[in-house]
Amino acid sequence: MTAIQDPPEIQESSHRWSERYPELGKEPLSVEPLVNEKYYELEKERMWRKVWLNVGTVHHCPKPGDYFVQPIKACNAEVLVMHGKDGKVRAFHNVCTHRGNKLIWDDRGSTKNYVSCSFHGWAFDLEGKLKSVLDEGSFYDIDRSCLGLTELKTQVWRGFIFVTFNPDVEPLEDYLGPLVAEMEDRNFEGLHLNFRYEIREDTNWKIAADAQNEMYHVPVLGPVHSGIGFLYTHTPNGLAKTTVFERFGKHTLWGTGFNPEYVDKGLNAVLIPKAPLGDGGMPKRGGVFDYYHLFPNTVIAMLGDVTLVYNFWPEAVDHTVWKIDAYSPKPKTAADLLMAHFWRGKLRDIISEDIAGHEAQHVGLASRFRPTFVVQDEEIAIRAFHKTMYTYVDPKEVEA
Amino acid sequence: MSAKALSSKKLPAGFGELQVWENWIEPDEMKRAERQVSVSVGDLGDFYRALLPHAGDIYDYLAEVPLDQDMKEEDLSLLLLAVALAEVADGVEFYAPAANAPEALPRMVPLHDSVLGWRH
Repeated sequence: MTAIQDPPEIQESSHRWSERYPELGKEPLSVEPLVNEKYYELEKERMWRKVWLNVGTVHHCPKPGDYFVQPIKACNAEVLVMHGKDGKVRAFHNVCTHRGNKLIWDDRGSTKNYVSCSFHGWAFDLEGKLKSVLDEGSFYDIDRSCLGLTELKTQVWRGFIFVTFNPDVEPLEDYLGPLVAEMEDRNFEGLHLNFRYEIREDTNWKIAADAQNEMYHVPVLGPVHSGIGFLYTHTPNGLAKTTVFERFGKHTLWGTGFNPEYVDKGLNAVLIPKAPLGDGGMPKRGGVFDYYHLFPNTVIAMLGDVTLVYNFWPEAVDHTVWKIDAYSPKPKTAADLLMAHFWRGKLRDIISEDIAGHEAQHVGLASRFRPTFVVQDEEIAIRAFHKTMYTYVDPKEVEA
Repeated sequence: MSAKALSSKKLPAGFGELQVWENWIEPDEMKRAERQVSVSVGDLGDFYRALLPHAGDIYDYLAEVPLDQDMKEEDLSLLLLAVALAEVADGVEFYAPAANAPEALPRMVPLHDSVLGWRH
């Protein structure tokens, strides 16, 4: 990781980030990428099938024989991730090579040696090889060695499992670029999966991602936002502010520090002094909270001891499945577990306040009230994300 | 650790006066959320105000309960009671008297948690 920089002085109003990244511009952004069906179709073809996608972490399949399924509708596919006996994690099309039925119909599971198709019982080993075929003699010269599961290019980085549908894709390290060095001193290996949620939302996946990708809304959106959110860096007039913003190729970071004016109240005043926020093996660039957006649809957000991983999976232009993992260092006592639940409860309430906002924004934008929307300097990570999207699909192609 | 069902909701010695709140001891998060949004604002506040003065003692007790062995059922009951308190706190502190929780709370579907494990 690069050295922690002194944050620019926090001012009530400033253009500090656009001055640092003038190439991002200041103009209003197009509404179309967020609501346009044709844009979504182009995005599927030119972006989703071309890039590396994070489908989960090794915590979702920790032992040999563990497997899980991640639907990726933007690629018209489902990915089956299996932890092989050789310790290697592989991803395959979740499709039986007999007549193309879905191989695994559950979300996840664990097996000793084989997974088998529910349709005619074809069995595959954990490395994807076809091991047995019922009534094999009635087929016509089939060659089992050519009928293994269709493997996808898979790479595991620091416990994060990435797959791609693009056989010519650059190596994952190049795709992540400077983020690899940036994350060097983060102890992902020491994390423990405490919670996982799934939320189905009637909104575009980029609206959901954008809504999390700024602090401007923190004092306003809901009572829990403004309550616990006041622990972040604020101006004297109560505006939540970032202390760091940085681009890492396609990916971004924003972070924030601690507000010395913040005072714990209620249950917080009892529990937080007993278990003050540590760093959970994750030193923070912003001070207290770091939010990394990995293009296109993954977020690694770190608050104190808690590390959150988000994936925003589109199912249609106006429907998203938001998956949320909450990790921390492994709880050692029941009190650690209580604190994991305590912070998970805060997260759950804050995200519940967010959900309504995502759907309401889709309704608003889909009305085409105007062709563009405006963003300010504190929302620069959104601008960076949209500008990266434009390199795959230019909104001009679909604008009327 | 897993706790699909509790055979008893008895609390450890020293926490007997909280036994009257045992209806709030529930391993399943969705069921806890349903309870939170379905009880009256007054009842939610009563639970919170009764538990809050004990929260520090509960924390100190649980800090002596290691997770590397099976948790005693009475300790798990106390943990789940404290988890219920932690979950309703924002509702009482920020949403009462208008509501018990953010409206979208029941839409967060837990797939895995550190008490129950995986749901599927």
